[in-house]
Amino acid sequence: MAAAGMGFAILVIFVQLGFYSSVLNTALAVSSRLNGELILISPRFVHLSEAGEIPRARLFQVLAHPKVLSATPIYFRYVVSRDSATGNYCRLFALGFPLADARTAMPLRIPGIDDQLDALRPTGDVLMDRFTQTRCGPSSPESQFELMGTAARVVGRFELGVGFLADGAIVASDDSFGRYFSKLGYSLDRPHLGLIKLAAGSDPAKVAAGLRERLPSDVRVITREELDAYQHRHWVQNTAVGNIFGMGTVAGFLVGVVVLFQILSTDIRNHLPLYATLRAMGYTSQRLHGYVLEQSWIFAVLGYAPALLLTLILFPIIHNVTLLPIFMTGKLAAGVLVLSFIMCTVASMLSSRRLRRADPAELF
Amino acid sequence: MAAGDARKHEKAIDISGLDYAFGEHEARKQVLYDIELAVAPGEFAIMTGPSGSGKTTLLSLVGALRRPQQGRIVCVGSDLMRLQGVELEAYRTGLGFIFQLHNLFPALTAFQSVQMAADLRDDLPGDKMERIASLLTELGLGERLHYRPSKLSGGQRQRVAIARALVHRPALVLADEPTAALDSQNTEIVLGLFRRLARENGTTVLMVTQDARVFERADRLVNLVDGRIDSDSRR
Repeated sequence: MAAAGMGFAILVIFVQLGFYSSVLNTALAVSSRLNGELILISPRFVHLSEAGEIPRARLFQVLAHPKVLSATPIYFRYVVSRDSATGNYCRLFALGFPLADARTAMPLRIPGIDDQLDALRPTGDVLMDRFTQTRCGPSSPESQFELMGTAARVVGRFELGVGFLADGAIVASDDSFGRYFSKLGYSLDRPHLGLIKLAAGSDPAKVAAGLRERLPSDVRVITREELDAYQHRHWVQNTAVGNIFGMGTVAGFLVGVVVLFQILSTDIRNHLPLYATLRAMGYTSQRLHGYVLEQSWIFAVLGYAPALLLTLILFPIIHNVTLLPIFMTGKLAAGVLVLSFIMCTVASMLSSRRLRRADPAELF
Repeated sequence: MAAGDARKHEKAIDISGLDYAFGEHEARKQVLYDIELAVAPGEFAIMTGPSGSGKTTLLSLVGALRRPQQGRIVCVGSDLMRLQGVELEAYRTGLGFIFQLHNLFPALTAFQSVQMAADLRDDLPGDKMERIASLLTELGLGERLHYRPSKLSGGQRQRVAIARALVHRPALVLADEPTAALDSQNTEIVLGLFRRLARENGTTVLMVTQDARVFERADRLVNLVDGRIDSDSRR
């Protein structure tokens, strides 16, 4: 019963932390796959979905730096897709870059893109993320697929998984990208990021400092790691999903503490004469607390094992149904184990207070 | 206080002018009045008397399970009026308590229950495990060393509790109706064990009992009535 209660609480923590880590995966889905050491961003940059724009001319200025190998404009925006066969609308995250630049320095480290660059050449053709919601289509090769009301053709797949960011993702050439957004007056001269690749052995911090001196204030130079930090901060602190699953983890932890506290307290109450006997025999309070702690750790292990097993079954099911990037990792398994022990330690410390009632004088 | 040094003190129990009351103010009820009692090392003393006469209160005061209020109470060299903290725990470790209820942990076997008491003492001579097995065997539990309380009869559980109290050869055994759940044969075994400990180790036994079978085996019979020692006869 105790182990079942603990197992349930630990399972809740696993699931909440699994979702939480899928929020982190979402945050870094794109930024961590940018193949460059430095990024040029707008001074208005908040996070990738609210990046602002930079003048493309700044990329040419960047190229003048001796340590810069390439400077590629990256375009991204949300696009509305429509599958004419089903009439389903979706919100997709669209990434665009010049194909010519990609041949010399591939801007994205995403499996399945670099060997399909030729397929992207015809304007309007796109690659679609394999983890895009199936309802977004295209439901059949014949069905007409639209992006921003413009006919598009899905010519291949790649593997990214944008999680909570959108229903899916597409990759297109800069020309195709411009075509979808031309109606909105969007110009390819205003990319959202500039991806800078440096010569081998360069110090990104030093090059960034040099570029900052050369460039005007309408752009900022940051490292890839700083971009990841922006993304992390935004998704963890400023989005509802980050907060919800963060709070869910805390709730799971508290449920575990309360469940185990109840179990241990009842157990101590039921065995008060036994603890009083130990105290009469000369056992110190510290030692009795140690026994309760030991007992709680046994519950932690007994609860953790089935919870881990259930999670290993649950995560693939959740991933297949929701296409969220939710996976079991060694870090997650170890983190939850540590959390379980902390949870049990807190519960045992709270319930140990009942040991004060173990009065050996009542035994005679 | 190490095992086996019970004869070091002139008196195992030395009580004088001991009063004890429960409650305060209007609720105060005095249960012991001016108790004077001295028990020698190795002596087997029985306390008897009607219910409410203060026997168990006196027993719990000697065991330092209650804090004495007034008078003098020195047991196996420790002044219980002053004892506290680590010294108090050390004092209790040197005693053997046998309660009316066995209070055994359901998850522990007979052997493990006794081991819990033995583990408190690092100064036990000889092999600890052998000592536990031999004591339980002497008490007729040789075949049930690894049985849990649920698989033992009431009498067997009580004998495990007795073994737990005696395994470290305490200087002083405080027992409350230890033979109540035992048949005549096992009562004899337990009393024989007390006598042997008294003889070999100088262990003092202070036992509360109404069991007439035990009276004739004791060295001394102390009768308490209404919180006062009514009679104190040596046999």
